[in-house]
Amino acid sequence: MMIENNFISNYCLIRNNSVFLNGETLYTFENPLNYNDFIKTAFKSQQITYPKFYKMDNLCKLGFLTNELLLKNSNIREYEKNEIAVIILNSSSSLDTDMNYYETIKDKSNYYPNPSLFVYTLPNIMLGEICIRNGFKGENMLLISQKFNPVLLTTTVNDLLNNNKSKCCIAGWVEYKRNWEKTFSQNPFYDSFLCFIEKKDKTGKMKIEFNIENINNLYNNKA
Amino acid sequence: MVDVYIASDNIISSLGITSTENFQNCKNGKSGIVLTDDKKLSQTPLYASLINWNIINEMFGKIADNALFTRLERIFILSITDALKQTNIRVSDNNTLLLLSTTKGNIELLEQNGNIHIDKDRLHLWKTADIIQKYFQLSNEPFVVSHACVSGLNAIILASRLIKSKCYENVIVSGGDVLTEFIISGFQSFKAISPRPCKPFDIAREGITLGEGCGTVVLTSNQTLLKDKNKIKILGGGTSNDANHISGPSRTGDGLFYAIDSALKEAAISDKNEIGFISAHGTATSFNDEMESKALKIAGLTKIPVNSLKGFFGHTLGAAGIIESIISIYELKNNILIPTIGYENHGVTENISVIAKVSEKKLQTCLKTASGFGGCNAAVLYSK
Repeated sequence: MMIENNFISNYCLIRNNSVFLNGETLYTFENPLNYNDFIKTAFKSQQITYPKFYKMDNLCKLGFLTNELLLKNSNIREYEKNEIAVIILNSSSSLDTDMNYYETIKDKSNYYPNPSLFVYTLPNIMLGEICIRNGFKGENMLLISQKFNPVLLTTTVNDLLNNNKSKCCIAGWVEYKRNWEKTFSQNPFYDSFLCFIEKKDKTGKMKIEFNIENINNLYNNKA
Repeated sequence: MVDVYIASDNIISSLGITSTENFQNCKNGKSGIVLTDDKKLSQTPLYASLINWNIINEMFGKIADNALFTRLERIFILSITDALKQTNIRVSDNNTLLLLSTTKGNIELLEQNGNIHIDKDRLHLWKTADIIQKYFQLSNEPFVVSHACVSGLNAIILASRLIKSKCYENVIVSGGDVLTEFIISGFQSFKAISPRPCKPFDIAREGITLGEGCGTVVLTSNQTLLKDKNKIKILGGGTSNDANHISGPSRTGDGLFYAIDSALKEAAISDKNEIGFISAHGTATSFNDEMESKALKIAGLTKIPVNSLKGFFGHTLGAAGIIESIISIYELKNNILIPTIGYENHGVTENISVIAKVSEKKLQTCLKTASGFGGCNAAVLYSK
């Protein structure tokens, strides 16, 4: 098989009260906000009308907003819905919501399991939310690794694109981790990085090849 | 071009501790679903397919200390041990990867009365994989697929792609979930659990029956590792999303169709009659089974015999795709079609050909599908 080069045409990072799009700081909040306020403020600033956002759990809100920003000025509409893949990795799965759900069942005298919470105890629901919003019907994969794993990410995505399973791919790392020591701490760790990867550089503007080194640099915000 | 084969396999479920034992029970029409009133699982009596933990703990006690491993870790280790026993792959080689599939992993560690010897860090799915990797002294960092009810098939698809792109020669794919109050209460809150053993594709179906288990397949590109004269090959696979609803399947079946179509194209199957049978997801919820019938109609597969194995094993979540793939592979090897336990009267719109009785048929190729929460779908084609 001939190895083809695939390109990153857009990338978005959300972490530490800041949002970065294609290497530029979109905004950063000087006064530390708690996660809830931060993600809602960032969402509202985009003037997106999508009430379902407020029903999502913390992980889905993070992945959803990163994807909204990522695709804002992309040419994704040129692709057929079933040609678009979504591949996301993380470390803590849906453990934040798992703990919230467990609170609803642990006390038998105060037992209130709820299906709209339970459904978010699956990390791939984040992919579902992104696909529903955009109508994407292509390849889907949610993988867990201890840390951000550029090897697994590039291998999986390049395989899809080079074997014509997909024509383009939204791929990256979306991690939301509750502080373990203090179960209800206000200081969770969140770290989201998504790329839009295409088989070839259509615009001629983006020159970032989708490879391990570049992915590492972009993730570390060093590009 | 690299071909991907299944070198060995194992199933641990309510129906036994080896693939052969599980297949034999399916062939004899024996279901693993029982009525339980275990209050640790559910406040009300429940039909479920449960592992005999006395047998598991006794077996596991011979190789390691039960107290140091969770229930899920024990069945992962026992299942992988049995699968590896049947092959000559050297697990310490750096060309072998461990890929786990699970929906909720060690979620029972959330319960305060859990095992005091076990760190809650093992709630992390990667940590579970790390424990299994260390036990087998594998050299590569393992990964986990956690993708609701398609986890098992997605893991087989990913493993097969990693072998085809020559990242690894062998991948040990093991999928497991154990039943806990966490999982059961969630499905109960959805009112998705059947008050009787589940009845896939039947007019009187009332929902799912949950199950627990573990399935392992060792995938390889190295033909010298294959012992069986019937070499089982993975012809292709695909995944998709419905883009419709996070907790309900598509009303049209187009999402599942895309996954099936992707698998068929990769396998270069143009004559659909080459497919001897389909092992569907068939959870026995009203919407799922209806959606599947529509997807099979779009794919032009309504004449192909189709079964659901949920009446034997229940819905084993992260293990389902692997356990059901293994039974399908044994159907191929033995030229036998396993029936859909619980199916009596046709209850889906499209006239799909549900297998109602054990029968013999010369088989070459089969299709396995799955669908789940988040609108996810997956399909894999196997041949001998």
